[in-house]
Amino acid sequence: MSKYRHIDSLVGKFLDGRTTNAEEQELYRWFATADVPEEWVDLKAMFAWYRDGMPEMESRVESASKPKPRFSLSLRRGVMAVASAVAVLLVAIMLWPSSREIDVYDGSYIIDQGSYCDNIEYIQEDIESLLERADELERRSDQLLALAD
Amino acid sequence: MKRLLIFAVSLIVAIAECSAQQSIDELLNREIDSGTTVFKMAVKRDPETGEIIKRVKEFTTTGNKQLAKEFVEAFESERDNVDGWEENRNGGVVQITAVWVNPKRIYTITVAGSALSVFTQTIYREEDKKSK
Repeated sequence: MSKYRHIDSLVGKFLDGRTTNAEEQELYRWFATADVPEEWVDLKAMFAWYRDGMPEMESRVESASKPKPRFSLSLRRGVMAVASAVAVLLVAIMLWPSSREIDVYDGSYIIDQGSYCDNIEYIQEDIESLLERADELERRSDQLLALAD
Repeated sequence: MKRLLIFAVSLIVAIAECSAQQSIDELLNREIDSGTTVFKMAVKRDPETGEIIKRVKEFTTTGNKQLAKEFVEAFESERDNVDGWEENRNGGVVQITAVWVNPKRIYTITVAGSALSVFTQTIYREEDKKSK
């Protein structure tokens, strides 16, 4: 173990934060090349990490410095979809009163020589004429009923 | 026994009311799709609720005296069941109006030569003045 005394001493200084740059470079080189004792395997990994410029730490620092999005992309997309659906629903509700206006002639139709038509715009005049005649007939029938009484 | 008699009479009246103008309706339904006629159906609804206020049917055809005769006979067969009846016969023109109440139904037939017109309406409820 005596052959590691110098390295052991340097490791002690490193861990205390008292090593020079040259000493640190020596440690990095030694741990990179030497066949280290089993109890220093962890130290070998640690110095390799320092030697490589502490890559994980950098990425951690990098990721910590970037503002992390609060919601994932799929969650944001979901929220957007729901918001769009709500907007469409609101528009539909706003337009609903005009679309549910009751057609007072709904159910009316004409069959002329076997040809069927229930397009109210097309037959409206005929339907209104029919209803006017019906009103007239109703008044006459009221008189008829009054006479019968 | 008295209760049974009242029930029987009520049943007969109900059946008679249900079958009133049925023979005319059956004849109309038979002829609607014959292809040589004009049939108009007007439905009037309450603009607030959509409920049907009145249903009017008009059936017209020409050149079928046999059919006109059948309709006149159908009207005449209903005569004993009506609440109001008016009949005018003048030369070749026959006009009959039959009225029932609850619900109010007014059926009119006009036969002039070979021209036949049947006009029926069922009034489910009286119209409000504002919806007229």
